[in-house]
Amino acid sequence: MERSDELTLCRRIASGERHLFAQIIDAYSGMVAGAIASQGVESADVEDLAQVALVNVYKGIAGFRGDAKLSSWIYRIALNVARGHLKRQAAKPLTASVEEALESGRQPVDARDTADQRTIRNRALAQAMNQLPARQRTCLGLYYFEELSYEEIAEAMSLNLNTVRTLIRRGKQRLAEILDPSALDD
Amino acid sequence: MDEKRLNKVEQLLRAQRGVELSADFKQNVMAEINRLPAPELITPRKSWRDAIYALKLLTSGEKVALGLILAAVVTVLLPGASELLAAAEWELADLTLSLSFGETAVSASLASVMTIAAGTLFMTGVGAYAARNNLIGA
Repeated sequence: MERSDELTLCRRIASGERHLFAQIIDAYSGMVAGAIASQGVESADVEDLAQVALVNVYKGIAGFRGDAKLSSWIYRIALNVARGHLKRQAAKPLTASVEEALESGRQPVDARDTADQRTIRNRALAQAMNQLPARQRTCLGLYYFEELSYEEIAEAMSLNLNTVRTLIRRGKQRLAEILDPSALDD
Repeated sequence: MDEKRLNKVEQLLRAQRGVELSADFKQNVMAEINRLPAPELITPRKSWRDAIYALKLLTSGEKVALGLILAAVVTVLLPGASELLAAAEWELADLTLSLSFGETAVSASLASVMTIAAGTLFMTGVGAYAARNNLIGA
């Protein structure tokens, strides 16, 4: 979508044509969920947070001026939602988490250990991904799991195209170093 | 790095799938949104953000201006710069900067030159701050 089209769409939504927001959901919900998952959010919470992020996008859409790409703006909102959630989780007393977990019948676990479990079925890969620096992890996630192009990732993350290429290449190299040979066996 | 190993990592990554959102995800978001008023009515006006935005717009030529200032500083610091400037009939004396462009002569007090330089540096700082903190367009 051209920038002028993005701005027109946002202005129409802002002025009350809320049904047009469905286009934003169709275009960006995958990226939003991928960005949130890549921050190490527990997979069970990803969808709820993606919903919160998209509602925040709606609430703030009147303030979108079109200086940045719409994807970058939405990506930043998704990151803020994920980081806010992780901060709140970190601030929660551990005992409360354990009690909650016991009440709900699930095992208390470290959120980072379970990130992307639903999406990354190979646990070894999920664990290796969590050892990568955040930007490498996010770029790899958006490229391989959400199937965004280099250009789309660069726009969303406000990065140079070459930086995205480098982050993905280094991320793969690092994964090759971290992953146990058995995880790479055919 | 073993190429074969890298290829296997590539295959492993490609075999994974993205986050699977439930079928009613879009419906849920739209239902949530339908409970809210139009965004124009709920977006709070942030006057400080508008002020920074206006300042950012004023900094559009800051890189050129900063480049000129740096070029001037480097030129003045270079050995033999005063002779070079004198040859072009440019002079910095008595707290006044005198420039000559053919038949046109321009002079400015050093105070005004310094004020412009300080203003440019300030605007550059505002621009950098606004860009770094994603204040524009967010």
